[in-house]
Amino acid sequence: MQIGACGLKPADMERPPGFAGFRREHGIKMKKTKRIRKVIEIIRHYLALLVVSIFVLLPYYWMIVTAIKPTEEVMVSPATLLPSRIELSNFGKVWNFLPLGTYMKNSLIVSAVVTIVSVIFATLCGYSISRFIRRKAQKGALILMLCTQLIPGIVTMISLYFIMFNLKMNNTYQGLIIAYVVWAVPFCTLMIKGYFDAAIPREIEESARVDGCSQFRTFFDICLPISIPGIISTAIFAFILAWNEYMWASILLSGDKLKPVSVGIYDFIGQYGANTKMALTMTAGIFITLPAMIIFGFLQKYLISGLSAGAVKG
Amino acid sequence: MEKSKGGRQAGLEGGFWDRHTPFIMLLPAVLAVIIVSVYPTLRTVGMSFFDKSLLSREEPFIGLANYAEAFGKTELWLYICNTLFFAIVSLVLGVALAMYVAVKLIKPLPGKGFFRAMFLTPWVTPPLVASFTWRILFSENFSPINSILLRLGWIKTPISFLNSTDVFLGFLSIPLLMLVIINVWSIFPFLMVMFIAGLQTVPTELYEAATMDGAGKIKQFWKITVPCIRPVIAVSVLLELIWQFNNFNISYMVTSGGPLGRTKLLAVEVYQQAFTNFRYGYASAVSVIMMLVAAVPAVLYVRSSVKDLQ
Amino acid sequence: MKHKKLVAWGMTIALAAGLLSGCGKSDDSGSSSNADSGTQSTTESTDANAGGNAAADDQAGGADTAEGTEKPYEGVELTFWMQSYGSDPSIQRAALDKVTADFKEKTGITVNYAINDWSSANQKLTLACTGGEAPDVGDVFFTKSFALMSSEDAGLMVINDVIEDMGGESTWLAAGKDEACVDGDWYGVPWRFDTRVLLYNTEDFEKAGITEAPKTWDELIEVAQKLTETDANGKITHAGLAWNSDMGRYDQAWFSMLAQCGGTMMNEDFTEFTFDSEEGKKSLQFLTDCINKYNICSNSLDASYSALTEFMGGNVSMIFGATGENKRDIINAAPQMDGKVASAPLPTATGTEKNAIAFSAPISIFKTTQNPEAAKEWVKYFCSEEVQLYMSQQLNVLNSNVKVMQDPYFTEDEWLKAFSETALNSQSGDMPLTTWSQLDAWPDGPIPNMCAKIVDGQDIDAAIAECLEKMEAIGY
Repeated sequence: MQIGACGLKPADMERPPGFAGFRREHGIKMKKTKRIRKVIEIIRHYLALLVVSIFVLLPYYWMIVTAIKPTEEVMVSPATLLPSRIELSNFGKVWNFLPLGTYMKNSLIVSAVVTIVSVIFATLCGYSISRFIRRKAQKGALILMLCTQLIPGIVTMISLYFIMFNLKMNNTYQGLIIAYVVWAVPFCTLMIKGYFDAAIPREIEESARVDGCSQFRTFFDICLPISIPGIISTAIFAFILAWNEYMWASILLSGDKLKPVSVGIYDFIGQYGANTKMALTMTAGIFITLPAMIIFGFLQKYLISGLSAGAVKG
Repeated sequence: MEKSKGGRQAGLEGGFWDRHTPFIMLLPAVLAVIIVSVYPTLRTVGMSFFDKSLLSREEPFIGLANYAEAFGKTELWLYICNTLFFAIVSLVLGVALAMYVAVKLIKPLPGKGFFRAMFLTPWVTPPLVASFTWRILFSENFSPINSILLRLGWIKTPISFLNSTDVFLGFLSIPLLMLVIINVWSIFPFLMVMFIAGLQTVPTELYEAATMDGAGKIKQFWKITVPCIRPVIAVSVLLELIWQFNNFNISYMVTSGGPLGRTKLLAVEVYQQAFTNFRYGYASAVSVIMMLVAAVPAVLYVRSSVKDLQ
Repeated sequence: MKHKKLVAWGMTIALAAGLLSGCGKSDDSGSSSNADSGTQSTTESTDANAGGNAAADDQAGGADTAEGTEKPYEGVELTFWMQSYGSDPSIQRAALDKVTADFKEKTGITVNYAINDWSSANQKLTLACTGGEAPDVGDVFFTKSFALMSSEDAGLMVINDVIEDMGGESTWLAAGKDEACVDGDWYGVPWRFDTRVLLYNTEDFEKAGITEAPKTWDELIEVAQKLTETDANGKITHAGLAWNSDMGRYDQAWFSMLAQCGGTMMNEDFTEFTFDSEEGKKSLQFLTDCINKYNICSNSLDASYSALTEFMGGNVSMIFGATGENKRDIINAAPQMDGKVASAPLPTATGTEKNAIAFSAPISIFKTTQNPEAAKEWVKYFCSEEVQLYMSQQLNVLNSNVKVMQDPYFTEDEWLKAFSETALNSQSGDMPLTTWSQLDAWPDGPIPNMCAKIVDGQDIDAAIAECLEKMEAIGY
């Protein structure tokens, strides 16, 4: 909607600049000095990215190095930067050490359900807000969604705990799922609303309405199928939220049958807050990070294009 | 099913279900949010006027006494300063880094998908894992950063990043700066995604025209890029600012607020009062204060969003 | 389409129903009367069905059950919460699987255990005592706080009869009674025991020509000075001594020092704090002097600092206040230290005082249990000498039971000997106060805060005064 600032509709902008544009930009009379300047620019480009990569990857580098070091090299000070030889025994040991498989299964179940339910809720709500913003209820809903972003989650957890406990939902997936859905829905609603605003022209629906479609059919049969990119990017947000959350999980669950991986690292902490099992902690860290990272690696394209089409107008 | 049938028969005028479809569509999300988010929040606000503690049976109404106690403590002001500094500085640095990277990664050069995916990883790393690793990276004797610096000869003895209790300006300490660095690491991917998405909507023709006119890169950035994606920047910055006011993870998991409360943020204070001291009344009061602090950017955000819609 | 709508509606209705029933009940759930909440804990126990005890033996050998009759509790299920112990969680799971399977065979009672991590243990037990989810039987600490927090129908149950059945209070070390008994009523059966020793690197000792572990504070300083290395600026590069601290937590080390110069935390009837005394100041002075005056111990309030990892990294020769599982932790994480770790009782101010503090922790029954008798059977079984010795060995913990501690496993082991000696010459570490968990809360409870400030070089008298003032405000 707000792309109006640049006076163009998103459909016109799908075209990425491309090499052709680049060449044109630099003119046909590309002289030698220009070419050198361009090479330098490209080198600078990658150098800058390299520096940022070091900052981003530093923790992962250390996780991996610690995990593959022979045990007697882990607790050495000052720390050695690379292992003298690679030892992979930690990767086997950690599965025996804590029920990582169970934790991952729990995380995947909870995150998947949270993603589906929040997307359903958010799509319905976001569509309604997007199309009927002039009505009171929709405006109120929008303000409600915005305001919930303000709430610090920590203290409401006590009230929520007792609500869940009285519903016998402690130690259940439902207890986790309901809370995560509600924390994910406001932001997802805002995102998907932005998408409907910007990427789905109203004209399509109006013609459908003229043809006698009900409002819900218009939404479901006409709008929904062409909104898939926006829905995917919304889903990713919900998934990450559920995947990373740990505080509520640690309050609501006892024992480790239903524990998600985000809390799994707590198993390494001793009675006085100490953690002496550095190598195993880091190995578990790798396993915990990996699934989401892989899923994400594949989906980042959709995330960005979905956001982009919605002009990320929250 | 009934809905659609009714709708089809009644056509444009619609039956009861059809006419109310937009309202019904709102319900699931709105009810869920009200029950699980708004209701506990209202209870929290209510609780802040009571001396409620798990350790005592009575919970007398004490009016504003919890607030008076909170504002009477010098520590609370320190925590507010810490929180403001932490939120604002990590946001500024995060936005700068994210924008820098986003501008680089919008260029049609090879490897951009790879770098994008790589830079997103901090976002999907569970906070517990990230915090544990960063704590080691900032340790005195086991940190590879110190090892590298020692080997390069830049330092003689290892730096202890999280130990200093000296303060500048009454609250600012080195450990707090370290937490800001960690936080920048964890928040910049989100901002980067938003910015890249925004930048993709900026028509290249504008840049071409500007280049023809002889405008430099920096000028182009300020005159074209920023105005074009202003809404994106505004929204993501405001949202992120609110989230950072409520940030809990980094301070709690890396330092637990230490050394001597130098890195303690309001959210951690709320948590410790509620779950270590079980003083729900007081913890509620502190969280209401927190909401009020975050309300300033939030009101701006809500107003701008609502205005844009009309 | 129909499905999605149904799902959405279903969720809505569920949430709405949640609100209605949630509102009504949750208002009083924080306070005393919440009879129904307790009754739910057993019905939920199937969730935590961890043991998977497929030992489908029905009525074999009923002769030697506790009652001497046929198993009267056949089919009963109990939930049992325990914190995590030892250096490998899978060992704990295996040990509990075995013990619960044996118990089932004996009595027919199924015990579903759940292992809770330490980070949320205090939270969980507090909620359990104040109307939240509670197990039938649990591994408890801060017993008196929880006992006093308990209400009519939630919290810890008085089990004097179990204590009687198990031979009365003399069955356990004095610390056991200190922890589990409030005003003559027992709220649990002591099991785990914890005391502190001096852990040292024998190789470093040999290199420095030290043949014997220090017995007095003066000797400790002298030995540590020999072991400490500094750079040209006087910064420690290898510390002779480290207070056993993690994330800047010094209160536990100080409690032992207080005992070592004859001081006490509180008066006899626990109505007043008494550490604002000569001994209190002397011990706090010692805490800071080793860092700031003798320069034998690093000053670290750093959250990433842990004495144990420094020892593993070879940066520290002695740890003041090591615990029972530390040796195995060290050898597991840093195998290069194998054969170099030894223990000795902590030195005292003049060599005649108490060596350290001691803690005991009980197994308690929660009032919300549906089967108090079955729960008692389990507590008796779990706390029996035989099971306790087995658990101690598996989990690397010491034991409160006098007879268990007399077992050769404890008295003849090179490493554990120092612990069994100290056990007989120690004083209680946790004070029996409702608010103790707040007074000693890490990191910002008054006591840890005072210790941290003193380590940071602040004035002792001022820090004590501030601490007492804050404790007054919290109440005790």
